[in-house]
Amino acid sequence: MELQKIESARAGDFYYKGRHPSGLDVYLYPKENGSSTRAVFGTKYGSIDSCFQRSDEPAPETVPEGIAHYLEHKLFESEDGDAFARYAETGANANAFTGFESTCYVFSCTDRLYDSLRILLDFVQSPYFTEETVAKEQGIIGQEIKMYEDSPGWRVFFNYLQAMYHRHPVKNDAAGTIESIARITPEYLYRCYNTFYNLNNMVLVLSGKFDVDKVLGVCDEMLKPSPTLSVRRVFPEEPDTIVKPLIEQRLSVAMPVFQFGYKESAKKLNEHDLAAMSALLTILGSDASVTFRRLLDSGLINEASFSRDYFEGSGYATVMFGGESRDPEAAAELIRGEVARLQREGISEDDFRWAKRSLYGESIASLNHAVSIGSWITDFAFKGLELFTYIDALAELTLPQVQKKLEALRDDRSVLSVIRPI
Amino acid sequence: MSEIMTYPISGAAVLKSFIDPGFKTMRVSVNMLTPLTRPTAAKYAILPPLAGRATREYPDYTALGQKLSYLYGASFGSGVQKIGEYQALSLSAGGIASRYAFGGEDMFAELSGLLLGALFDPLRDDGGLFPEDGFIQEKRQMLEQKDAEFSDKMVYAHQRCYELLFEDRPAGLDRLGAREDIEALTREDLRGAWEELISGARFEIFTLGDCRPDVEAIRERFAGVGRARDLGPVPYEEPELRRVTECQPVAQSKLTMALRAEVPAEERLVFQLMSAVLGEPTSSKLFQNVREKQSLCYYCDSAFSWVNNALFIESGVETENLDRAEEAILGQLAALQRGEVTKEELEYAKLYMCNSLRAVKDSLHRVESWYMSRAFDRSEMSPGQAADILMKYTVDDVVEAANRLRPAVVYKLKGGGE
Repeated sequence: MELQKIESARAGDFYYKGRHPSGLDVYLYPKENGSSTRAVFGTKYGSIDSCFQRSDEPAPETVPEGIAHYLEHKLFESEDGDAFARYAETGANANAFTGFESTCYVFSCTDRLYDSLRILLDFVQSPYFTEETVAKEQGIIGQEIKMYEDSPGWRVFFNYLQAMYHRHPVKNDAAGTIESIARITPEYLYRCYNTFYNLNNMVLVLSGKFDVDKVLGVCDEMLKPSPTLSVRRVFPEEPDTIVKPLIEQRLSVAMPVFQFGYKESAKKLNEHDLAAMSALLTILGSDASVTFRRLLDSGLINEASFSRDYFEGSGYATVMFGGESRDPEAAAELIRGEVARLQREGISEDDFRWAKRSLYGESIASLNHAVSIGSWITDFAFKGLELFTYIDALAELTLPQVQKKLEALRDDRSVLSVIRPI
Repeated sequence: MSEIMTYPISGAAVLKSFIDPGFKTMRVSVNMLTPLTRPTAAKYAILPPLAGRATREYPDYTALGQKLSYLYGASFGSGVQKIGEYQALSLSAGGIASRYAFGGEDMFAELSGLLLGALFDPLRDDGGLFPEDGFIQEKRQMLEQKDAEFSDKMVYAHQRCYELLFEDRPAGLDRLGAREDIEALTREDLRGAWEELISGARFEIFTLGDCRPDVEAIRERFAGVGRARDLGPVPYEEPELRRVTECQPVAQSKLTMALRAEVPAEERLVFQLMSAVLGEPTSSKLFQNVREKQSLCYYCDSAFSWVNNALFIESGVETENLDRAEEAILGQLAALQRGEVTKEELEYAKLYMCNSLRAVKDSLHRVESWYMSRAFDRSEMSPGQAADILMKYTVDDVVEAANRLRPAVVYKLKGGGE
C-alpha cells in the first residue's frame, strides 16, 4: 500500500494518506507526545441517507428514517457477543456517532492498540441482526429519542431546520421517530449495511501514538475486499426559499432558547470557502465582535450559551446563531440589523485581521489532541477537503473573499426558531 | 514523559508546573479556594467574571476580546466551581505556544501579564467599585446560568439530588449562591470583596504545556497572599434515606440516587473502582443489565465523588418504568454487595480506569483537574501511580467498599406534571 506524506510547515506536523487494496482510504497522523491513540472507522452514511440508488440496481429506494443510527447501535452486536465486551478486555474506550452525513465507530486507548484495532475492523465488517436483537434495541433508542425531546438545544435546532427546509431530509430527527424506528427490520438493516458499509465508501483514521507498519499490517490482516459498488444519494429538489420565518415550541425551560440564521444555496465547498465562512462567523459572532457586544449590552444573550456555526453538507447550508435569550425576536432583529449594516458599510480591515489571527491560533490548538485531529480528518475526508490546505487557506485569506460570503446572506431567507417556557 | 513539578510558595499558595513542549498550547491559571458560606457565595461568585471581563490596560470588553483574538485566539476566562464545601474561583489564560506566534510574541509573558494584572489590580474606579456596565451584565448572566441549569433536566435532577443530600449544610449551597442573594447584590457590596477573597483563599497556581514559568517571580508575587487552609472532603454523617418525587411536563423522567460512605483518602481509589464495576464502562453491571438486558434506559451511570463521600447513580427512563428502574439498579447494587462480581468484571473496570488515568497527561485541562483534586486529599499521587495502586485491588476489596454504602437520597423527576 502506497502512502503519501502530507506535511504542514505552519503546523509542524505531517500525516500519511493512502488507499488500501481493499478500497479503504487510510489516514495516519502520528503524534509523539501524549499517551493515547484515537482510531476512527467511518462510513459516508448518515441520517440524511434515507433514499439512495445502488450502481447495480435500476431505481432508487426509500427506507424508514433513523436506520443509520439504529445500525450504529446494532453493529456492536455480533453472533459471538458484543464488541463492547471485547473492548473491555483491552481497556479501550469505545463509542460510535451517527451524524447527518456519516457514521463513525471510534476508540481511544493507551495500551493494546493493535488488539483494539482488530476488534474495530472486525465488528464493523461483521453485521449480525436478528428479529430479537433488533426488537430489543427499540426500548433503548426510544429512550434516547425521549431524552432529546426534552433538550431545548436539540429541539430548537431541528425546529429551525423544519422551518428552513421544505423537503431535504436534513430536517428530520437524526435518530428517527418512535414510529419510524418501529418499522425497522433486520432486512432493512442488512440492506443499508450492504449498500453503505462498503470499504470504497469508508475511511480509517488513526491519530496519536502508533507504528505505521504495524497499523498497515493489521489492515492487511483484517480488511475484507469489498465488491465494486457506488451509491447515489438521492435528495428531493430543495427550493432556495424557506418554509416559514418563525417556528415556536413550548418546553419545561426557565428562559427562552433561540436559533436564528440564513439559508444559503448549497454548493460544493473548498477549503477557501470554508476559511472565508469561518472568518465571517468570527467577525459576526465571536465575543470580540461588535454584534456580540451589542447583544450582550442589550441583555439579549449571555456568554455561556451564545454560539455561532456554519452548518453545511450535501444539499444544505446555513449560517446560524443561537443561545438563551429573554427576547429572541429582539436578538434576531439585532443580528439582522448588524448583518445589513456590515453589508452596507463593508467589513473593516481591523476586524478581518484579528479574526484571521484568531482562526489560525484555534486551528493550531486543535492539533494538540488525538481526538480532535481524528474527528477533523474524518469530517474533511468525507467532504473531499484537506486539513493543512484549510490552515493554509486561512493564512492566505483575503478580505474580499469574506465580504463575498457576507453578501450572500439574504434577509428573506432567514428563520427564527424559539423554545419558550410552558 | 513530562511530570508535574510542585513548588510551595507559602503556606497558602502552591505552584504546580507541568512543562510539555509536545503541546502546541499553554495554559496559566490561578484557583482560589474558599469555604462556601451563604453570606459570601454570591458575592465571591461574581468576582472572577468581573475581574476577567476588562482590565486596566483594556478597560473595554470588546477591546480586550480583540486583543485576545489578535493574540491568535487566546482565551482569558473565569470559573466558579463547587468542590465539596469549597468554592473554587479561578482566572485562567490560554493560547498557542510562542513558537507558533508568527508575530514573535512571548505568549507566556502576554498571557501571564493579563492574568496577574486582573488578579492583583482589577479594573475599578477611584472609589474601589467595579464598572457599572460590567456589574449589570455579570449579575444578569449569573441568574441566567441558574435558569439554564433548570432547563437541562439531567443537570437539574443531579442538582436537586445534591441539594437534598446536603440540605442546610455548606455543601448544599449553590456554587453561584442563592438566587435571592444574587438578585440583592449591589456594586457597593463588592467594595473590598476582592481583597477579602485574595487574603482569605488558598491558592493553587498552574502553568501547563509549552511554557516555562519563572518560579522565583511567581514566588515573589504570591508571597504575601492567601490563607493556609486544610482542605478536605465533606464530613460523613450517617444518612437517613430521603425519597422525593417532583413532577414536571417532560417527555422522559429522571431517576437520581445518592448513597454515602465514610472513605479515608487512602481508600478513594477502591471506591472509584467499585463505582466502575457498578456503572461506568460498558462492561459495568448497570450498562449490561439495566440498559442492555432490560432495555430500560439509554443511560444509567454511577460516579463516586470522594470529596463528597458520596456515590451518585443517574438514569433517564420512561415515567411508567421509574419504579422498575429503581428496583433494577438497586438489584445490581445488591448483587455487588453479595459478592457477585466476576474476575472479568473487576479486570475490565480496572483496565477502563487505567486507560483513563494514563490519558490524563494528554490534556492540559485534565492535568489541572487531577492535581487540583490532590489539594483535597493532600497527596502527590500521579495518575500513573494511581493506576498501579488500583490494579492491586481484589474482588473482596470492591465488595467490602460496596457494603459500606448507605442509601441517602432517591430523587425522581416525574414526567407528565404541570
